[in-house]
Amino acid sequence: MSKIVMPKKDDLLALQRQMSGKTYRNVLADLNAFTGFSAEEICARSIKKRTFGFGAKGWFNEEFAYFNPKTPAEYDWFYRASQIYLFSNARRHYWGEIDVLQAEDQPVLDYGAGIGQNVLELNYRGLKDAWYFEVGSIQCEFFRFRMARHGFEPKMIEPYHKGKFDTAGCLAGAPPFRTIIIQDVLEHVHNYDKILSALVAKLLPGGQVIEHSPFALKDNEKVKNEHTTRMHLVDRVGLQKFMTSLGMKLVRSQVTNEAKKAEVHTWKKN
Amino acid sequence: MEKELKAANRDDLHTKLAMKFGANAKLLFRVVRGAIYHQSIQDLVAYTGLSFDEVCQRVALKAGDKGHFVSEFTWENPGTPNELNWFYRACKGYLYGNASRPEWEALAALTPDKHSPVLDYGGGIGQNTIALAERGFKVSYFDISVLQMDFVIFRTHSRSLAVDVIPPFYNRRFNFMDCIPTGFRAIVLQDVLEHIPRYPLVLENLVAKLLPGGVILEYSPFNGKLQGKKMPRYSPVHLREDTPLDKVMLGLGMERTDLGKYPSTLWRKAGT
Repeated sequence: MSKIVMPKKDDLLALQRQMSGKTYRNVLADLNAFTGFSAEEICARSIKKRTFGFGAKGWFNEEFAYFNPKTPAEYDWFYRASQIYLFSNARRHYWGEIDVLQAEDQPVLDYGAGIGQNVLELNYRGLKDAWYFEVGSIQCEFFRFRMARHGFEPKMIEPYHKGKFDTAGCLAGAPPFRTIIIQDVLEHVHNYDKILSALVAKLLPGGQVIEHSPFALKDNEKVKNEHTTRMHLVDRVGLQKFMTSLGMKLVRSQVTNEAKKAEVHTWKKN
Repeated sequence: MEKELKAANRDDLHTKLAMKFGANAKLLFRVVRGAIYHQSIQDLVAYTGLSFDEVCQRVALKAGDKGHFVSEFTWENPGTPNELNWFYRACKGYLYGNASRPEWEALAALTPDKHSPVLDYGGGIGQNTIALAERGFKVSYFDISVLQMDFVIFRTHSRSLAVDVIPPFYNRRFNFMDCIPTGFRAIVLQDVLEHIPRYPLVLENLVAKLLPGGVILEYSPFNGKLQGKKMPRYSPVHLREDTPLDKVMLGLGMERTDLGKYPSTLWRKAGT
């Protein structure tokens, strides 16, 4: 391998064990079947950035720097066409927040669902009215492939409206949802207010949004030595105020990273 | 800008393009005008969400430019067959690089038949697939590139064309040979084989999928091959023809017909 730095053998074995485990729903075997790469090659692509340093070869920061998106449309296109997210998202198992979901919380939409760990896990738990939306074409293809491998029907929303790419408009044709999951998505989106409005419009009365959006901090808020990345945007809309204006009530808030001021929120629709 | 390019004979157009796109203006003028004509740029605008200008900039990239598929190849630097496959599966640049190419003129050598399908193998953004489907051919499309396949699904849906898109999986594993069904009357291989290590295996597999009397329409600019009176060509993304293609085809029982008018070859399988 000429481009990707191979991890140390012990790190590799630990990662292989992790990604073959039940909480990961054996994502390693699925990636092996989808890409044709060996377990070692997949792990080398999935390894955490801190192992090799920020912007290590093969990590998505490097892909981001290479394609260097500047306009909102170019940002969207970067995420649409990214290949590294396929591997880096495989390092994450399902989100613990979905543990609270019960049958009556369906239909569920995972918006910006990556490789679909949450939706797959929900299917395994019997919550089969779980919908997937993601702009990343390669991740979408992998999700479709993976659901078939695991014997589940993929429920997907395509990112088009009236024959054009439209991440908010495409929701018009989707069914109403009782629960919407937005995990680490909005901080990547320039026009997230438009998307949130469309999502809340699709939420049934009494429905909930479970959201985690670690926006980049403004310069005067940054903690010393805390790195930020251009991939995360500053919250220029004001998420909490905007959600309130959409008729959403904050019912739970929990800090996940104090330095980055990141919190997980649960919102209820009146 | 789109209207200006469509009416593209005005003397001052190059100046306008140069102001907007800098050094690439002349190239952009040439490739973009063609791409607008056969709708690939408009389709890319709808598919990607990028603006018309942003798409044109990408279509007009040259091999040394950042974002061009050759530069992406250099950046990825695939070192193993798996990595090479993955480069083609995940490459972004081909989506734009292929947009400036019109449908292949050599398709004129094929005649429509509504019953037995034509396979466009390594069909890229589907220029040939769409052209054939619009002329009444029954068409199957295959490409390992995720983005290009996704784009072809988008394009054929938006034109309400019934095209069978074949995903590169067999027994729920990536496999670009066994995933191909049998029963094709013709297989189109335009600029494909020179990208595939051990291409004779792929050819053998494809010939087996042809009906008796079926044809392969092929053009494969391997590195080092002489192109008419020109110098041997070279592209970093092309391979050398280690085993001569003619020898492979003849060994598979294919009969050669040169299509003098086009830089391509028609190979016919024995039988009727």
